[in-house]
Amino acid sequence: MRDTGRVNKMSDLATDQLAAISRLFSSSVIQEMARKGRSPLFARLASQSRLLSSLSLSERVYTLFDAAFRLLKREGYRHEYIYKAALTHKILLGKHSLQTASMMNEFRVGECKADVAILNGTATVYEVKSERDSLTRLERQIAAYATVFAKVYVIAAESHVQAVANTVPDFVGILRLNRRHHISTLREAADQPERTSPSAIFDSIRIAEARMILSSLGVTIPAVPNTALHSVMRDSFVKLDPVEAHAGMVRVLKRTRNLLPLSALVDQLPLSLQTAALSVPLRKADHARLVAAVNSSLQDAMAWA
Amino acid sequence: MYHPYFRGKQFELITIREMAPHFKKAGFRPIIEPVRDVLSGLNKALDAVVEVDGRAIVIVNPRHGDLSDAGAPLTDLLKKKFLDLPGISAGILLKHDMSAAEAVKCYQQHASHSPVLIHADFGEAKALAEKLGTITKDHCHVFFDRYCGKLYQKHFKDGHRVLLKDGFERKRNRDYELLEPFSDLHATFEDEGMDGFGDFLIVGDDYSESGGPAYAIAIHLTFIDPDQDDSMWIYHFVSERQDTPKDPAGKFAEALAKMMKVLNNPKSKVLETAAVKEFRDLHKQGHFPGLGYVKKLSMNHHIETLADYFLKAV
Repeated sequence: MRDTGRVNKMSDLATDQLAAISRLFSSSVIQEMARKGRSPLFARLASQSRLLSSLSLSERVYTLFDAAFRLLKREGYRHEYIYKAALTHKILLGKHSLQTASMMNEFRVGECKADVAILNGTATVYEVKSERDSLTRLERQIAAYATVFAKVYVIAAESHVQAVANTVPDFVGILRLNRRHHISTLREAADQPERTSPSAIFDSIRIAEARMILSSLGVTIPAVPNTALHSVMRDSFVKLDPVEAHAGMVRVLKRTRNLLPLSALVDQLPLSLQTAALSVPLRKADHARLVAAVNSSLQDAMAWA
Repeated sequence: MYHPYFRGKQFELITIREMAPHFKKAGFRPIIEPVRDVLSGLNKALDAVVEVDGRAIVIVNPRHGDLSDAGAPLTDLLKKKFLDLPGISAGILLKHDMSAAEAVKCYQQHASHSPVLIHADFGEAKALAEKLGTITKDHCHVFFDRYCGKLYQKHFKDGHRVLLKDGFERKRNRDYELLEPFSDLHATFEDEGMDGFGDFLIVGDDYSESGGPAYAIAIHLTFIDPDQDDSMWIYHFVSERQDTPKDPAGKFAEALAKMMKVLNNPKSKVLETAAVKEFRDLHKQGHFPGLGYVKKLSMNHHIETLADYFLKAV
């Protein structure tokens, strides 16, 4: 506790300030910077974040993102984004790489949206329960994800770990994000593709992906009018063996949701922004604009408003 | 007469292109607010209007979309190619952030383009009327009903007046009733002291750049009911399934089946337009042409229906 002045300042972070700091990492900011090279929303949030007072205006935009990220990493303030960033760096880019694995964000399964899913040799879903989340939906979420993903993890704040363990079935793995921003495994997830359901998989993926899976398994799709195509394909898909359908999903979605085209971009961004860049659809033509925006001076950026 | 108001997105512009002969024949005069910075669609739509010697009003200072604050290429296209033609008028949209002086300046800049003032949420009616001087039937004024009350309109009572009223109530697709009243303005505008009327077709006045994925698919179809004083009604045919954003094509087929049931009822009052014929063909083929195309068919049908109403009256 060398830097006590700073700790005090942060312990009385106002709610609106915290909200602004979290929103800096939202898709809207990244998308504005990428599409227009400037983000009025960034300028507004930057001033609401009250982080500028500790920075010089000659510093670059990324230093403010880094400062915001450091703040959000502190226990008690940890936002979902911090958990996603830990999964990105420790698992997607740490254990795996963009060559061998892909990551999906906010992946819709039934009425739930999975926070993070990673595809490598299998499909693993991660549900984030930060100190600011409640556990009320957890049971329903786990039940839904178990129909699509062979491995299911909950990554939780220390304060939630016990309650999570009491709630979820044994096949669900439990991870904890510790103080030093490391992920510790409290329980491994079981790898059970046989538990998944082809109809749930079909309803979660795109129609073109289902078609690729079916044709890779040698299933021919009859020529029907396009209004009937979905139901005809669904009829074929639900007859697949769960293990086969799940393996097909991993194989095809690794290709269709491949993030490798983003790797050069990710290398040019600060750690704090890499997860955001991997989570938002970005056109290739916008990459350079995003990098330039992130490297603008704060002085220029404040004029974006 | 009828002034359909279009926010010029892709399929709105295609509707204008395809309906240009109907506009001409029935004496309709579309108002086009360009919203896309790619101008080729607008160019083709206006070409079609000019081709049949028709009339149209093009807003030179649009409020919505890509062009809302960067109108230079639009101004270029209009000035070089269209505004000098007798059928094409410059529409000047009067907005809340405009002063009477600015409005008059814009009006004078376009003095040779048979300018039309389109009164939206403008605040200085009295000052504007004074600055314009004597107003005659040669001056066309279009009023958004939702902004301009009778007192506002009174300042321009000697002009050629057109009332724009949005008959379309935008809801979430799943919330539509099958049948709702649309408008009676086509039958009553003269009683309201108006020289013309307009609407926002089946799109409505709420501008949205894009919808998210639709959980329910809705097809809108208008008709005029001679048994109810020629008032206009609208059917909303909504898909059965509404709980996921999946399978828009299959949901379109569900909505279309509902439409067929209504059309095939001998008591149906829906006019058998070219657009309805196309809906029937799509049903037969089981083909979903895309949501934009479906919207186009509904707009075309609306225009054909009103054209038929006015041509029959002559």
